[in-house]
Amino acid sequence: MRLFLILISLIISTSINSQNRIIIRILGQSNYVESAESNSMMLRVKNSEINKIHILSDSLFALGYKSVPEKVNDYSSHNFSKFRINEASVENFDRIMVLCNELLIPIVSVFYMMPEHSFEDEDIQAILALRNANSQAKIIANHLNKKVLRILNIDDDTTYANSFYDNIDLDSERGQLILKLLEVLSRRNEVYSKDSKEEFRNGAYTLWVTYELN
Amino acid sequence: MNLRHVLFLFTFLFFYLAQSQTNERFIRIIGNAKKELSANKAKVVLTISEQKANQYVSDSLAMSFNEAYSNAISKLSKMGITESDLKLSIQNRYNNRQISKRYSLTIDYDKLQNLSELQDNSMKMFDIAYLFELIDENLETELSLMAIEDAKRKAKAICDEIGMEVGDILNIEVKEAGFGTELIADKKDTLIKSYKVAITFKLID
Repeated sequence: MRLFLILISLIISTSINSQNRIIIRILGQSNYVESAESNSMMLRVKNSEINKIHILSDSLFALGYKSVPEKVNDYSSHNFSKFRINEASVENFDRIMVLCNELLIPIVSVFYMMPEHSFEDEDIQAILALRNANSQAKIIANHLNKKVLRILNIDDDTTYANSFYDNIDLDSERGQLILKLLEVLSRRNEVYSKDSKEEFRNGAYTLWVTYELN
Repeated sequence: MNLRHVLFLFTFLFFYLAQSQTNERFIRIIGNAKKELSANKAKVVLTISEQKANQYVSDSLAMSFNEAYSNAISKLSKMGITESDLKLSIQNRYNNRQISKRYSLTIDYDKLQNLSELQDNSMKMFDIAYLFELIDENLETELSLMAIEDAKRKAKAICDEIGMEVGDILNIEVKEAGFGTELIADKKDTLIKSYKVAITFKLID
């Protein structure tokens, strides 16, 4: 009989407690922008005109520029060679382009070099995402006349958090095909690629945070 | 213990587990690692074409396709490439009224420069795909350890922010690896191989 009473009281207290508790799960987000750290140009010259590159190197040295044309592996043509120049200063980069033009060295492409992606920097983004979730939780709690009691759990795996996935049945054949396609695309490691056609790269760090309100 | 006691016990356990499930205390962190790899091999598509004499080019010589092919095989053999290594990929006999055939072959990356230097008007490199073999167990170990350390560091940074502590590891899930027998082909001769692992830690107040 005593055991029965204890169990009944436990069940009732648990039910009352869970009625007062509200669990909310919030996606915290931190947006960031990575800026290019350098400008790059690709030059392509005939092997018979390779001395133009030597003249360009001498000119850059005379101007006091640290950038030098670096040979790039290009096995597709035996008549041409490719060179790459990286220069952080836009003014200097512009001057180098003028020099190339004067020396009749064709510039094949111009692009940007992004900074090396640092996983340590992601710690800061994760903390900012957590703060964002905290402030969202407080707003909701205030609206419900509740208080944020504690954080129950934090989940860094936000693969399917994007609303893009809401309209996809991931178990269907089409859904699986889309996931496969995304997997293939992700192998290209665009996030880690240093070469970019854009001067800026936008990114977002997201974090699921589950709170208990009371 | 009679049946009534067992029933009470199960009821209690059910409520207890239902309660504890909503109270799960954990922090799951994605640990990342990456390393730049260089190509091991290259798949090259060679174009072997017949040559017709050009009246406007002084040293232009006519060369039948068979002559061009024999010439190419002779040059390639100096690099240790035999005729059987060439695989016919696309035939395009009547391009500009010139017989031209494409052959693919796979060679070691460090032989590419030598092959490039063998090019002439009758034999040209049409396309190159760089191949990366990811069978290196040491690389997988190195990247997985780096990813675990990354997750631990990030978990600590987050827990420090909220005044909590990172507890024991509850679960490890490898999210992205792609090692083993996989062979990746890319247009660049370097590739950034990434490794991703999700680690669940206990969250301690």
